[in-house]
Amino acid sequence: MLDKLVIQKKICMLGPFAVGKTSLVRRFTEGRFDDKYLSTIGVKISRKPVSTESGTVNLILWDLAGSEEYNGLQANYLQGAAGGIVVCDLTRPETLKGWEYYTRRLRQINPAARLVLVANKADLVEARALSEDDLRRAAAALSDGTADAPSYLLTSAKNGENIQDVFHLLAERLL
Amino acid sequence: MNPDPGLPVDDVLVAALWKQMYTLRNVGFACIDEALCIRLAGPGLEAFIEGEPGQLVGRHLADVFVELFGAEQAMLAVLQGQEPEFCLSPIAREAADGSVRYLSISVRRLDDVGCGTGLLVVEDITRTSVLEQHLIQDRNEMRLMRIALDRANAELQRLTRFKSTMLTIAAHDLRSPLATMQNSLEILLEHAAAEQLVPLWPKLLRSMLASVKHLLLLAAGLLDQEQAEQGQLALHPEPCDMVALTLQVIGMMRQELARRIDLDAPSDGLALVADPARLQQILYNLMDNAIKYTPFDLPIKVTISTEESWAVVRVRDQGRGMTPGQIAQLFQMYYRTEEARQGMVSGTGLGLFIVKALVEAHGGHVKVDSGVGLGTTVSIHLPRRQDMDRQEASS
Repeated sequence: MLDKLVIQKKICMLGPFAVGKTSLVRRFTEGRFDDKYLSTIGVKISRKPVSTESGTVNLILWDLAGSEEYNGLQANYLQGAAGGIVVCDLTRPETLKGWEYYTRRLRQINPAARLVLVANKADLVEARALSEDDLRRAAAALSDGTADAPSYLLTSAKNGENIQDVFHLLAERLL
Repeated sequence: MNPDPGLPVDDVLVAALWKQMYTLRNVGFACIDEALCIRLAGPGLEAFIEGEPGQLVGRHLADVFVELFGAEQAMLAVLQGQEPEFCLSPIAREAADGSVRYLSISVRRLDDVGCGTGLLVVEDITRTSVLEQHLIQDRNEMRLMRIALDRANAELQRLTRFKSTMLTIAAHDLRSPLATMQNSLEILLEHAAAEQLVPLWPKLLRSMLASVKHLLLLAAGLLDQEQAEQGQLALHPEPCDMVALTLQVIGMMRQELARRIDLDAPSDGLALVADPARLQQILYNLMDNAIKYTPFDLPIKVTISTEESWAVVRVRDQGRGMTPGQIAQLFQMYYRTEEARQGMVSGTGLGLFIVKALVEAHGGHVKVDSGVGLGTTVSIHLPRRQDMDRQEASS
């Protein structure tokens, strides 16, 4: 019997400030959620293996600051990233532009990087300000014919909705 | 005492001083080769290693610092002189107790030593980074507050516009019945002053009564609209017969408006659990609306039936009908067709908005079928008795 493939990949969490990148990572790696907003500066790195049918991917998750102070520094942070999770906030329409901006930044440095788009805070139904149409259009606009068309998922770091699916989907794309 | 007998005293002293100095400055360093492996670990470096440091010399940088995984090409470019420096700063490391330590990791080429040799510098920058984090945290929180404030302002403006519109409409609609009552009262007073016989009095009093009813209806509509906007429409459901309620409303409207209303309904009635007063309000609004848009000599048609689990009432007018664009706006608050706005049809633009809110509050829905020149049929679908029982049981 053949041993299953085990690989290690660097993944960058990208998106504007306060969209929930750190909460997504914490929910995924530690299974918990904290309502308090704590802005990330620079980068915070976490690790977690994801098993798929094809093998196991040890994800090294780079939770990058969303504040614009770090936009200039991100080139170094993005070096060697095999994939990215680009996050927007369903309650803040202006964050949807981040899908395009951060995808472009990641692809500039790593053209072959695999991507999953995430629309977070799906639990805040009353405050939701982005429709499925908005998301579909924004995701479709990122398919440039050469890179893979990114999928998008609605998530809630608060109640765990689709969190495992996001990282599992990306792991499968990396194998 | 010399801890390392192999070293001369001066060298031991120098090494201890260097270690102390690097510890005090929270800096560690290492010399690395062209394969990105550590050739010499400087004093203080161990303080930056996660877990047991073990033997550092000979190990690959990415094995010692996970932060450098993936950055191999960028670091090699520095060692080969293609880039001046590779730097990651700040890097947040969270301890098990939740405390955060911030590091800066950089790689530079050692030009004097030889091609491919580099210097790794790791520095603890927690003190400055914590300040930076606080500044950014405060700034971002203010931004989030501003976004929330903008939203609250927009909602406030919408409500202000809504209140203003409501007042305008109320003032406009109150004027007509009040003027009727004023005229009637003036005539009555003239007659009374002249001690005239008053064959006209019953007619005037009926006119005043109709005006009062109109005012009451208007007031009730404004209150309902307010409650519907707030999602607070109150219902008092009880077993009732849709056919009997419809007949009562038709009787009332025939008396008031002297219009023909044809009813097609099950002869044995249609039982359901609903708020009877609200159902009458729904039916009154629908029929009143249909009458307004139907030529005087033509009837409106009301049909009551059951469809699967729904009790369905259809009210059909013989008016001009509507375009798809008009249908799309029909249930919006204060929406009135062009014809109505030009003063040919009276109304507040609240009737169908309230109908929709009341039907939905009962767990039902409203449909509109219309076409230009074809008239309009508004259908309400309400859950039948057993469904209401289930809803009540579950609530």
